[in-house]
Amino acid sequence: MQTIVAIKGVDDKLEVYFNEMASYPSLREDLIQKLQNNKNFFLNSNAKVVISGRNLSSAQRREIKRIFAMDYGINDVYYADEIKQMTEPAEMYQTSESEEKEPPSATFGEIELVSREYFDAKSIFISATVRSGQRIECEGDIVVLGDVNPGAEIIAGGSIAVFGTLRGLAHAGAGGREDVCVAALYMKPKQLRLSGRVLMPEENRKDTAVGEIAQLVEGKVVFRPINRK
Amino acid sequence: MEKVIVITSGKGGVGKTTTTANIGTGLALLGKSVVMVDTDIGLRNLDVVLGLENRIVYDLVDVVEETCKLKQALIRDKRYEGLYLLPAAQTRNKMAVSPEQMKDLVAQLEDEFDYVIIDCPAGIERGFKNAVAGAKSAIVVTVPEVSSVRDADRIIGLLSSNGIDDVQLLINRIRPDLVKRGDMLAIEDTLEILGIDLIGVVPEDETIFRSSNLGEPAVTDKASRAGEAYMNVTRRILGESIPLMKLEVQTGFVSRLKNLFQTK
Repeated sequence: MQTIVAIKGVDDKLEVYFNEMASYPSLREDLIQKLQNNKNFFLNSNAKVVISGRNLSSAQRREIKRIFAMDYGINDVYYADEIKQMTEPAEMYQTSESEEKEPPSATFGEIELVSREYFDAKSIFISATVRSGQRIECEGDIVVLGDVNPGAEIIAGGSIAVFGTLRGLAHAGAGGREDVCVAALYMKPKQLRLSGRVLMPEENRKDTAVGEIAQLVEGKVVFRPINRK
Repeated sequence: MEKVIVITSGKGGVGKTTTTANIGTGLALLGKSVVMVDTDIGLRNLDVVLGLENRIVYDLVDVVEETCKLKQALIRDKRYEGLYLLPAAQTRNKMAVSPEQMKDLVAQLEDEFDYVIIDCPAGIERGFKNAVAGAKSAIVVTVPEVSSVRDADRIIGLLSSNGIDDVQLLINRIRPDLVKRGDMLAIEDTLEILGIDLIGVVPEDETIFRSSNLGEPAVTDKASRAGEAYMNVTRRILGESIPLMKLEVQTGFVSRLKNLFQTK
């Protein structure tokens, strides 16, 4: 099996190489795994980390830096191509300019509610109603504090929770994961999809409790109230 | 509501132009100076329902292309003090004007008038973008019917993306008898989905047909229920607190008798 993430200690540096053929999610997972396996070594090691290999987007780079900083106290993390720019003062200004030009939606942690945007985030938290025509997509979980109106689409690799009325389309486990669910205070979706299976709930479902979860149980979509064991 | 209001809906045929004409005229009747702007280039209607179509010499596109000055294109409605119309072009299309040009134009109008009411065409493409370019607030018009509500929802989302959050809803052409029967969306149902403040409810009213055909907005007709509702909306825009009109079903003896024999 090809190495996805290679970590080497060179002088006072830790050189991290991201395989250029690998997808970003797998790179992230492998890095986390490797760091975890050698936690004692990495934690608060004050090492200087240089990352090379697969080109990452700004949002992705920020996420990797966060992982090092928050989980291991390593704040000296650089990308090989950034270092080149930093040694030339004129180009340093260029870097900050180009960061400003980036659309807000590329910023990790800031949720910009736009249509058809893909978020490089592990999860998304939206504190507004999602309106018709808006599509929220991410590889992790999605939480909506508000309604999801008909014509809106929530697509998650993980689970979906709607603190309101779900009237639009929700797809949990869009990447194939089966350990997912769709939860809503009022479950009235136009269409529900779980791990690729499409369910069209009957119109005006009767006897719907406040707070329901839809899950796949043995290949079938099952609704149950939240908080019941 | 701000001074610059765009009247939009997404869905076509729900009453944007009628609403623009009535609110514009209503504001003028209450002593304000108003300019109504028709941005539906290629399919202009605002001039028709106001009865001003035979007075058009220059239009919005002429102003933007600097064929004429803004003042030359404005049509003063001789019947109502302070009421002006900037008509759209009929022989061009929506690509003739850009959002940036609209923004400049609206800024000029803002200086000259108390209120600028912008009539937006149906859809979400260039016409819509042009119409919202200079606006600071919006009235979304919907009829109590599922496709209209769906489109209104989309429009509210798009208005928000365009920086317009002062948005209120006008429910138009409501039929209390159908609502009572459960055949039409109730006001509460519509508000539940759209989740914005209500600026008014206008009942379905036959007098609207006559008003449009004669070019005399319903607000000027004392006998028109829709006209009364539009006047209430106008007052609410000015900040007055007016309770919603009572839209009761007329239950005379004959209709009660009819109901006995009607099957659900």
